[in-house]
Amino acid sequence: MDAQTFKVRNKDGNIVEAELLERTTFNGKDIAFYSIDGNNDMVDIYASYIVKDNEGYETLQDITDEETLIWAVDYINELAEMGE
Amino acid sequence: MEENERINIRPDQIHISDIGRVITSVPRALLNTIKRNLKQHKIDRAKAREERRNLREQRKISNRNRRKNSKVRKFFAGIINENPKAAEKIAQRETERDTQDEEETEEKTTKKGFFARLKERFTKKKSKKTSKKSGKKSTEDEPEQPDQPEQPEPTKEDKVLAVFHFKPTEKVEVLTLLNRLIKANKDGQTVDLETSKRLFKLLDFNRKGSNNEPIVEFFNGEPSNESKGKMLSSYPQTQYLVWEMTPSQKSTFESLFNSVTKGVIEQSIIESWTKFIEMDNIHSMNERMAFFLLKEKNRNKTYTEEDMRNYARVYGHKNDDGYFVLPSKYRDVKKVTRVTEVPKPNTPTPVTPKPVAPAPQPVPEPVPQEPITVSPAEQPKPKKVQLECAQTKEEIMQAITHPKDDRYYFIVYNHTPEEKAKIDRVIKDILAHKNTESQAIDFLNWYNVSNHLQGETPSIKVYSTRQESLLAPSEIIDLLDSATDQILQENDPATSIIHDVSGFGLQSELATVDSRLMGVNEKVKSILLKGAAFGCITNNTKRRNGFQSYLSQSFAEQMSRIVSEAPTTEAPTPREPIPRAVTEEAAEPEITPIMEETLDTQEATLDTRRTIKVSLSIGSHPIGTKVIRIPKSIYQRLPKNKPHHQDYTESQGLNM
Repeated sequence: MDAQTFKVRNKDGNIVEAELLERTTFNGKDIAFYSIDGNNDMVDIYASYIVKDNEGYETLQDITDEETLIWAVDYINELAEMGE
Repeated sequence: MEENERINIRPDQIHISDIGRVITSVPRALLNTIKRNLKQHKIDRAKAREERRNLREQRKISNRNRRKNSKVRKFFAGIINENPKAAEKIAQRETERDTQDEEETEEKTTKKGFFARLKERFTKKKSKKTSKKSGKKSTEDEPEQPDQPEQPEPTKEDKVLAVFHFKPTEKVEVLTLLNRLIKANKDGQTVDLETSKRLFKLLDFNRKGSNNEPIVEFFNGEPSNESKGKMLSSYPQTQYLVWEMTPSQKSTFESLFNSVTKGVIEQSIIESWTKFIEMDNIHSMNERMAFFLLKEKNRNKTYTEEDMRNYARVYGHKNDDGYFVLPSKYRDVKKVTRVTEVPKPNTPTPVTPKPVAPAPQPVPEPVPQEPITVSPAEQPKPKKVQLECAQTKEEIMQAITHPKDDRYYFIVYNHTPEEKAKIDRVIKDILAHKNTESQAIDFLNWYNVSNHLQGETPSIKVYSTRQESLLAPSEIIDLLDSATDQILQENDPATSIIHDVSGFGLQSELATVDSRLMGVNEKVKSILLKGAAFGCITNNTKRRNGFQSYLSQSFAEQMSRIVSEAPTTEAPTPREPIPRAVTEEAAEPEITPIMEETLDTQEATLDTRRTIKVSLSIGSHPIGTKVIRIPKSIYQRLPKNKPHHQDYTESQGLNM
């Protein structure tokens, strides 16, 4: 199955397309890693909590917990570091 | 992607307001690598799950067997009871077996285990590739080279990481000075005394920041996650420089820094510094990726030229020639362009004033008594900057939609004289916090590119020029001035407004203006009415505090630079152009106590400094005054009959 894409509004107020890289869990919480095209052939990688709303749909929420944030940074860095 | 690996987002939801945290920015090529590794990770996780299930099964079976065996054990119980040593041995063996089981399970299922195995696989793959290329057996199969004496790398525990927290401008300066040091080392020379002294000062372990906090933190060996977390969360805006050294190097430098702090600065010590420093062990990175790149470096990974450029752009590390590349983040102190040949040390080089705008300007009064000696740290400014100009609609669109990261861009807005006058008035109102809502909307309209592309002839031009990485901030600003002067020569200063942006920020800059214009709502209006609009639509953080403070600050910095670059013991020379925004108040100087905020107190002495008051203006509108102290030698070079309120904006190339 193809990679999942969805629309997000960036900090400049523009709606841009994000691509889900991975859905995983850390400390019992669901985490989404997704990428958004940046400038000049660069890509920004984001991490967010996945939280269910009242109707059962899932939304993304900012990660505020430091431990999770550090884990997320390490996780992506380790994957990037593996190289080819 | 499996169904359970997707996010169940509401189908009609077109956006999510909470966008999350940027973990990192990577070149597209690296993203593909991450995706591949994620895929591999998933496969390995599935395998690990399978193995875990099998292990559980095996355990169940072994437990069942153990229970069965308990009957047998009971049989031996009689013997055991009579032999405590045998009982001890049996218990020990059981414990060992349990621990071993647990370790195996853990290794196969944890993240660490996965990464360790993945790393191992890549290392093997790499060594195979290498051996194939060289036509030799894999190094794993080879016996150790007997003729190469083992020189063990210091282990992580044997290293000390000094992590410096610099202000962006300081960081640029350090990188620039280090580049000079690298160049000198390459050329088999030592750097000049001033560069060495300055580096000492910036990298001094004893130095304190503005809050009296040390600017350097030491970590023994690999920093813990806790330390990394502290860096990530406590200093989000700080740029780091990581210096990796052995404990003995650290203590050597500590004693050197202490000597310097006590005032013992000798040429011999400074020379030893340039030889001692290990350039490969200094890393210039942003906070997010500092440790990631430290690891990268140790892996001896090779990159394509394109990869290197991308990394340099983001992380500010070294280029192929071994020089530090100034990261794009620092382009606030921009701009322009080419590296000039470094003059040979100790060659007297009188520096001529830079080309100037066509507007009438007071000519600096040359009062030279003897030519000034210019060290490599003080390079002459190039007279002409190579500028390219996009004038047709197609060329402008091409430049704007595909800006190149290694160029600086200048958008020249051409207005009618009436419109320029109106803009001047609005600027004045913004500075006085008196602008109206309609003015705010006008203001955005003037900077909306698409408005300027309507009609047959575009009313904007886009200039661009190459940027180079080996320039000091002062050199960059000088070259920016030259480029702006050239642009002004081609355009009428009475109708032009120059907006300068780096290629890196051009698109987002224009998008910001466009989106703000399209969505002019109460919030935007209120921002504009507070006078912050000026800062918001420029790409310069300094300007975010308002135009007035930006100009004042720039001017003060410019003057401070002249002050710090001018040798106080030398005779006055016409080396630097004279700032034209000096009022007649300067002609009546008075000696007052030194103002610490504008001076390097170590170098300042009462009898060589003069206090002057300068006034700044945009067009014909005065925007403020600043009291600064300058050396007597500079003071003597100031023109004595100056008009009031020179247009600093145009003369210094610091337009919007």
